[in-house]
Amino acid sequence: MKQKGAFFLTVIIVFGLLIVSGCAADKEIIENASYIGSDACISCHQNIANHYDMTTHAKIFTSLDKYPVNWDQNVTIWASAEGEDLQSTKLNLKNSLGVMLDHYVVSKIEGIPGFHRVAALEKTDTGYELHSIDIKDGNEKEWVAKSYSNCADCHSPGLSTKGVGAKRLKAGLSCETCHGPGSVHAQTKKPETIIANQNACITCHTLGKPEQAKDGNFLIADTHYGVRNWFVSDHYTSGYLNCLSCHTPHSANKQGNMLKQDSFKENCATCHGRKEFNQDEIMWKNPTDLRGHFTRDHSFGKLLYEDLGDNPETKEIEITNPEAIKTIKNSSKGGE
Amino acid sequence: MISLNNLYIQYIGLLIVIATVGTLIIAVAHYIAVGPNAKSLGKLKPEIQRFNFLEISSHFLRMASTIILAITGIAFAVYNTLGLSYQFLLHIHLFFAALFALSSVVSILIWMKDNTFKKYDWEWLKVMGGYLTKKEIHVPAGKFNAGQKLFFWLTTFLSIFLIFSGYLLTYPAQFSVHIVLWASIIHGVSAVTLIAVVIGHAYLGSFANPGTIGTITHGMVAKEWIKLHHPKCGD
Repeated sequence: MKQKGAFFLTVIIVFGLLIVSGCAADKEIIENASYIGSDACISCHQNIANHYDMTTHAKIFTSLDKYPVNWDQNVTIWASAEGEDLQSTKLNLKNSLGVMLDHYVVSKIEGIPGFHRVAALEKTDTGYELHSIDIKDGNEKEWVAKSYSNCADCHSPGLSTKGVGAKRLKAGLSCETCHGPGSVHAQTKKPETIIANQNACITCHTLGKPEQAKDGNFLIADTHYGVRNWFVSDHYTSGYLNCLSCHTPHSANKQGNMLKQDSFKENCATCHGRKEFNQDEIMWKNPTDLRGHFTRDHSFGKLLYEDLGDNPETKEIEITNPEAIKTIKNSSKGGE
Repeated sequence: MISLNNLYIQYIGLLIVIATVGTLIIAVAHYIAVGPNAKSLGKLKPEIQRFNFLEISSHFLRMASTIILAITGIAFAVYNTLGLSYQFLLHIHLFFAALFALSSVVSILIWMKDNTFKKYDWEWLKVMGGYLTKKEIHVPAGKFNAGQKLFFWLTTFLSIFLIFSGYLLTYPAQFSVHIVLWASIIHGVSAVTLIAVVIGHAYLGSFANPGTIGTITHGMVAKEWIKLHHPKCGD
């Protein structure tokens, strides 16, 4: 009889504790969850993985083994820490971390902090060709590296992500880069335990924020600034639309763009019917950006290029028009 | 809570390896170092009915469902769906979970009385049933010896934990995140413990004690087997 009593008492205590502990805040639990890696996510969300490889997201940083290149090459690399002189070091390219956007080979260099672009890949008719980004003093065997540290946060977030289980993340974009650590979601299957809204997008897509110039009353828009102007747009301020109204995060259209429809016109037509828009006007590209680093403007006509008062001599946009500066600063997530 | 859960996520793979490979290594080491108990009993003709049909069938269902649940459960724990879709694997897990729950309840009810501890069980425990020596030791035991009784109560508790936490995990939307996470930890740790003790149980009921395995197939054992292993059976 005593045994039975002890048995039922134990069961009641254990499950009583479970119910009482249910009152604790969920937010802290979700934010401090463990990373579990993309393979774990894919084990349930296989349908998403089927299309993901076609997206730009999948290509922002890829592993070396995706390329038919002999990586086992020793090269002399010249690189420097910020503000310091170049110093040379020997590097075997097979130890590189990966390839950014099918082009830059990224590596760590011993003795110099941060990450570096040490070589470049060029697609040829027969495959890929590996070459230097720059050379020192005209010597083709002395390769000069360029810093990658500013790009790393978004192009290879897995390299710098901290947190429990972060080692499970790929160097490039993993599911949990945008959606946050997924252990609690995987265990509970609850939709509210994972980031699945535009917060997942803006983490990276608004990093290029304009900064106040040190020596003048103007803002300097950094690389990929265009998306930030989304917060100035009527689309955003209406409160009805978000990034995912037009974009697909896990698949690409026929043109390879991450849009719901196959063309700009069709995408707009989803809401605007037959009304036609000039894309180069309402989603302009920075004409002074020769490297194609500037993402198309997302203010949708609210801030035109002509309104910014840009100085075309500079490679980054200088926003000098006080009205434009005011608009950007007043937008909910714009400005500095 | 989240720190504990993160620890669980981090080490559940290691715990599974320890529970499976570790227990198998211990069993093999025991077989090599100590060897089977009363080897001659394996050659005798089984003639006494030790388990009836209900006992055999509930044990078989519980055993089969445990194996399937362990395989699919480990697959979930290490996020490898064995090449199947997650939903399909989940449905297999849930189907066998229902069988496990049913067979566990039946097993617990039909064997509960035979597994109440008696005074003479101390004698068995003092020498650990003779499993740690090559000498043939015969200690008093009823229908179940003290080791089996410990196994029974341990698996009874583990089964209840597994069934209850499994129910919470099947309907996560009905409960708070906190409760579901606790259920997840309890489910995982209980399952790993059950897997370890079940591997040990399977070894002791087969290679370690020749002549025993028939109990769960046709239910019969030899007279001599009863006399040596369970002399107080029927008392």
